[in-house]
This record gives sequence, structure tokens and C-alpha cells, in this order.
Amino acid sequence: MSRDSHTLEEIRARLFDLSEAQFAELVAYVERAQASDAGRSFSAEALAAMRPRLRVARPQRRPNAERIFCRPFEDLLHDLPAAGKRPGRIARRAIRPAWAVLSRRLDGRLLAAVEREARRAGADAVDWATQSWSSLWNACGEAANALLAEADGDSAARADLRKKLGGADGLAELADMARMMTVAPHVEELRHVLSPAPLTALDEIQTAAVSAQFGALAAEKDTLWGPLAHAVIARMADPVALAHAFGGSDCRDPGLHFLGSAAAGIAVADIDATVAALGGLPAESAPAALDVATHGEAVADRIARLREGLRDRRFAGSFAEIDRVQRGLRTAVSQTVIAGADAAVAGALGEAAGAARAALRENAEARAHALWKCSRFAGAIGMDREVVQAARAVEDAAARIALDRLKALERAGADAAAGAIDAAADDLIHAVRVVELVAGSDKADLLRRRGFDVLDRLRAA
Amino acid sequence: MGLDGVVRSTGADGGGSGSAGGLVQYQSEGVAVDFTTPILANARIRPSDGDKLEVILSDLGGGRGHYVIPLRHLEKAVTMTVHDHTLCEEVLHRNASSPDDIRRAILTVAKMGLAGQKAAKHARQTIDDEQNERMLTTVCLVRLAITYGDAGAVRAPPTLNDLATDIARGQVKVELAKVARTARLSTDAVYNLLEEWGGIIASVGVPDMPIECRLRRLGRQVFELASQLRQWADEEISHVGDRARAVADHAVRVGRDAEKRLAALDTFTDTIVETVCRWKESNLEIRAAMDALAWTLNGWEGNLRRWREAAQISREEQQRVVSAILATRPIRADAAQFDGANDPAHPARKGSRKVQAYQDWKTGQIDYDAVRRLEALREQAL
Repeated sequence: MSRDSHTLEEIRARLFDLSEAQFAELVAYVERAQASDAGRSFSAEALAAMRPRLRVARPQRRPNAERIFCRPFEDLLHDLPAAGKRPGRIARRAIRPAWAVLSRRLDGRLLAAVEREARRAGADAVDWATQSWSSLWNACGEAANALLAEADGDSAARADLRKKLGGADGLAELADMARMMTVAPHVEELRHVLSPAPLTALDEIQTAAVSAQFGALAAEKDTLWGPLAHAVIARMADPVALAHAFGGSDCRDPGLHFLGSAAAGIAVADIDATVAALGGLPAESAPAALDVATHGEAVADRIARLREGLRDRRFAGSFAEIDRVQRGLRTAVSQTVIAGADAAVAGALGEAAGAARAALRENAEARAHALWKCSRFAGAIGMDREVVQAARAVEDAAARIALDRLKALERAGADAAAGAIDAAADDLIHAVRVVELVAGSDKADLLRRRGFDVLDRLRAA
Repeated sequence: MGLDGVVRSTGADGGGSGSAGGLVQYQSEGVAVDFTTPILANARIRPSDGDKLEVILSDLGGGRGHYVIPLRHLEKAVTMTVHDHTLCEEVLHRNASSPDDIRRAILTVAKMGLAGQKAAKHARQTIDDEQNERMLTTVCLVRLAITYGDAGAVRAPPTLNDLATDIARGQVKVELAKVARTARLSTDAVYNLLEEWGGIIASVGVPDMPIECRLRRLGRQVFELASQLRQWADEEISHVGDRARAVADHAVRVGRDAEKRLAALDTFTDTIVETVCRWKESNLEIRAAMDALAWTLNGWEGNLRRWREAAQISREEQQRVVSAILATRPIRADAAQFDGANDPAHPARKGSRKVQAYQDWKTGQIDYDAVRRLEALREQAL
């Protein structure tokens, strides 16, 4: 067991050092371990540890019935830990319980046939769907709908299903999966026409292909256009691009127009989910502050593009909704980045020594760095004043403490110990680095010069 | 292909290995400096007329030209980080223009912590390492001198601890008597001389030392870099492949020059008695050879670090680093040519320029994310 946890640590640490081929080999090995009872838990944990690279590299995975079931909605999967059903997305954690419930209702012969075929084909042949896969999708869709219908009629059955799926969110996810099953063949048609996610925009050929698939489903557009739109939107880097392209009333193609309108809605929901996740990060933590600052910039960009599209009437939507998510982002920034930044900087210039001081300083620098990052997008979300004030508070605290310490030494005159002078010089350098981030290098250099002058006098004395 | 040919031809007539002309070429490139301002990442410092210093900026905006700015006025042209302000002051204060002097200035500023705590720690570690290299080199020289005097007897060589204690040092000095007699010097004088010698060649050491000293290691790593770049170029389909081959060729040339200079330095060690006998001259010759070696390998430490970092990131970053290394090569005759007449669709030209933002495009300020990346670059040991 300890050997396994050691291996997992190794995998986490060297995840991105491996070459593509080595990584693919590792994935294949870990997947083989899944076959034995002893290796199953290790395999699951190892795959979770490898997820960051899996998401980027997307090596060919060995197909099995569960993976084939997920194929129509694999672009929709997300890993945000927060509870709540996101429209147009499916939580990865919902797969296991849903498959456990569904696979019990499926025809055993069909499952066996799919598994057999998948094993024979191996990892190299997952590019094209086969007849048995379509049957599986149909069967899964029917089974899910049957389950949901039973639950609708009977409160005891409903409670039971809820428990099995892990709550009301699980029910909603299962319903979404069932919807995706109904459009699976059409998603499969688009699979290789659209480039792999993330896609920045649709070119003409892709647009025509998407339009054709919408056209094919026009008879059942009330039920089937939604899931198809979700599949296309999930491929995009930013759904706002689709909203800009097809959301306007001048879009003649009804299918594409539907896609554009749906994209605007999902864009807002996506931003909402990200902002909620950022809002849930702990305050007074440097990594959280940097997270908020890094993601905040991207979110602010998206909000600005949404607002711009809305103003130009490129698509329909509500300004109030956008204002709401923007307020959420502002709250996240002020709670994690701004609040306590000056205290963190002052604390790092306190009396702590040794490793504790080094950690405090690293923390203070990270907070100042986060503040600098936020100052780049503060204007876009109407936080100019708050961020500038916070930056000034940090600058004042750092410069004042460092200079006060030097002046105190100067007053002490010849009594000042050499060690105290060195410590004050160290503090000054740290303060300079913090001031450099929040107030620019000119002010920081001024502080350094003033400090160095005092230090020169002290050392000469 | 065209690019490759041009680079090779200048190398053939300019990089004349081992000759005084070759050294001048290395010196005209200036000394690479670890600035942390992104725009100065490839900057080099060289002496200009009189005792003034100037900065060469290459690869600005992906262009082929070089900008030359007096060091004194650099802050008027470029918004710099506090670290770089301080480094410029330190360099000006020392009037440092040789690789060794500038290296010392860089370590002094880094030690203060202006490039971050980790870089400060690494600078202190480097200074300690150099101290060790000096001690160990002296020990090895003393051992060589003793075994020369007493070729038959195999006895335990002095250790670091022996030299640290006074009594043992006296014992070592006695054992140096034979060399001292040959050189007609007192044993004290021989010991002091060996200590001075060890101090001069500390960054090279002597052959077969238990540790590989800095410049000797770098000389080997340059060859490794060349072979890695060749391999990389074979998989590269863009024009950067040609650039990588040009950098690899250059690295091999530098490596061979360094090899020759190392061999020349090792000759002094091999003929230890003659070197001691004519110390007045050999002293100067060794210093000159060390200086030449430092100039030859100047800048490759940074190139290695950048390449190693890029190797972990992405193909695009690797392409960028290859182009940046090539751009810091000396000002070439073809760089002065009028570019407008060239066919822009020529395969060697197409897409050959990549503009990169050195400053934050939203505010025009220094991009501190890039500064942090440059600072992190110097935290890793080579």
C-alpha cells in the first residue's frame, strides 16, 4: 500500500516530464491494472493523479462499454467540485453511479457483445463508431428514460434512485445523459468534422456540417436541438464565440440561430460556475489569491465580451444576469486578494525568523503578485478604486515598516548590532520587492535608494 | 538552408579557433548578464570607448538588428526591475567588463535577495561551491607536487582537513621540500604559489578531480546541448530546425575552442615543476588562458538553463529559445544587409519572425509573470 502511495506521488511529481509515448505506455499499464481486483483501487487513484495530463494529451484509451456509453457526452464533462447541476455540462463524478444503475437494466447479451468487440478492436480503433455502439446508446437512453419515468410516478422509487445517484444533481445528470444518448449518432457525425476541443471558432465547412445535423433533427427540434447544441458548445473554447456568430436575429439558419442563443445562456452559466468556485476559495491564502487573480482575468475578459455582444445586439440575454456574475467576481477578488493583503505584508516584516520568516515572505510576495495581476483587469469589472487602495495600503505598510526599522537603528547609533543591521537590510530588500509589484519599479527603486543610503551610513559608523 | 550556409561561412572565417582573432570575436559579443527585466533577457554588456560600458540588445521584436545603448543611460531607454537597476549600478561601480567580474557583480546582487529568496539562496550556494572548488584545486595541486617529489612512495594525499589545521599544513610543507629544491624556492613560497595557482584555476580544477569544476563541466555540457539540438532539429519541420542546427554548429565550435583551452591549462598542471620554476611567466600565461576560456564559454550557462527549461514546456517555447540563442550571436555581415529587397515569400524568410510582448500589453508596465519566470530560471543548478 505504501509502495502504491509512493508510486502515486512519483506520478504526480513527474507527470509532465514524461514524453508522449512514455505517458501513453503508463496509461495503458494503469488501465491493465484495472482488470485485477488488487489493482482496481490503485488504478482509479493513479488515473485521478494523471488527470491533468490526460486532459491535455488525450491518449487513446482502451474502449469498454462504460467508456463507449460516455462517448456522446465526453466533451461535456467537467471536474468542478462545487455541487449543483450546470446546464450543458455533466460532472465527471456522476458517471460511475449512473453507469452502475444503467448497466443493471441493460441486456446482458448486448453488453457482452460490446465488450467483446471493444476488446478485439483495442485502443487503436476507437475512432469510428460501430453498429453495436449505436445499439448500446439506444439501450442506455431507453433504460435511463424508463428509470426516470418510474421515479416520476413513485416517490419511493424516486428516493431510491436519488440515493443511488448521490442526490438530486445525480438525477439531473442522468436526465442529461439520456438526452445526449438520443442525439449520439449526430454527435458522432460531427466528431471528426470539428477539431478537438478547445475550438476557437467554426470555419465554413464546420458551420455547414453543424447546420446539416441541426437540419436533420428539425422535425424533433423541441427535444433534440438542445442536446445537439450542448455537444457543439462543449467543443468550443468559449461559447461566446458561437453566440457572437449565430445568436443575432440576422442569422437565417434556424438551427444555427438556436445554437447561438443556447451558447449565450451556457456562457453565462459557465462563468457563473467558475465565479462560484472562486468565491468558495479560502481567504487569507496566497495560493487562493493567485488562483483568483489568474482565473479572474480570464473571467473578466469573458464578461466583457458577453456585455459587448449584448450591447451590439449580437445575441439575446439579460444585462442583470451579467451584472450578477460580475458582482460575484468582485466579491471573490475582494475576499481573497484584497482583504488582508497589507496585513500579510506587514506580518512578513515582523519578528519571525528562520524558515517561518521565509515562508511568510513567500506568502507576502505571492499576495502582492496577485494584487498586481488583479490591477490588470480591475478596470474591466469596476474595481479600480478598491485595487488601487489595497495596493497603496500594501505599499505604505511595506515601505513604512522597513524604513522605520532602519531609522530606529540609526537612532541607536553605535549601539546597533551588526546582526540587526543585516536583518534590517534583509527586510528592506523584501519590502522593495513587494513595493515593486504593487507600485512599480520606479517607486521601489526610490525606496531602495533611501534604504541603502541609511544602510551605508549605519555600516560606516 | 540559406540561413545555415550563411552562419557556417561566418564561423569559418571569424571563429578561428584558439587564435587571438577568435578571442576578439568572443569579446565583441559582450558578456551575457542575468537581467530579470524580460526585454533585457538576451542583453549583453561590453566595453565601449575608454572605460565606458555599453549594452547590446538583440532579438528585439523578433528583428535581426542589435541595439547598442550606453549602460549609463539604459534606465532612460527601458523600464527596469529594481534588481536590474541595482545590477547596473554594481557593474558600473566595479567597471566590470570581463565575464568573471560581471559574474561576481551578478552574484553580489542576487545574494541580496533582489531576485527573490530562492535566487539568493542559490547565489550563496554558488559562492560556497566556488570556495570549495578553490580549496580542492589547491589540495590537488599540492598532491601533484608531492608525488612528483616522491614518485616511488605511495602515501595518502593531504585532505581538506589537513590543510585546515596548522600542524598538518606544516607537515605538507615539509613534503613539498623536493619540489622547492628543484625550483630553488623556500617550501613556504612553493606552498603560497600553489595556493595562488589553485585560486586562479579554481573554476577549471585539475584533471581527475573528484568533482568536476564549473567551467570544465560547462565545456562538456555545451557538446551535450549541441547533440540535443541536432536531435531536436531532425524532428522539427519549420525553419527553426535550420536555426537549431546553426546553434548546434556554433555550440560545437565553442566546445572545441573550450576543449583546446582546457587542454592548454592542463598542460601547466601536467608539467607542474616547470610551471613552478618559471612562475613569474607561467602565472601570467595561466591567467590569460583562464580569461580566454571564460570568454569562450560566456553566455552558455544561460543558454543551457533556458533550453532545459523550454524542454519541459512546449515545442513553441523551444522554437522561441532556439531563435533567441541564435539572435545573440555576434553581429554578422548579413545582418546589416537591406532586407526590403528580399522576396518575403522565400522559404527561409517566411514566418521566420516571431514578435513577442516584453511588456504587459494592457498597462505597458513590466510583466511580472515574465520576470518571475526569469528569476526561476536561475534557481536550478546546472
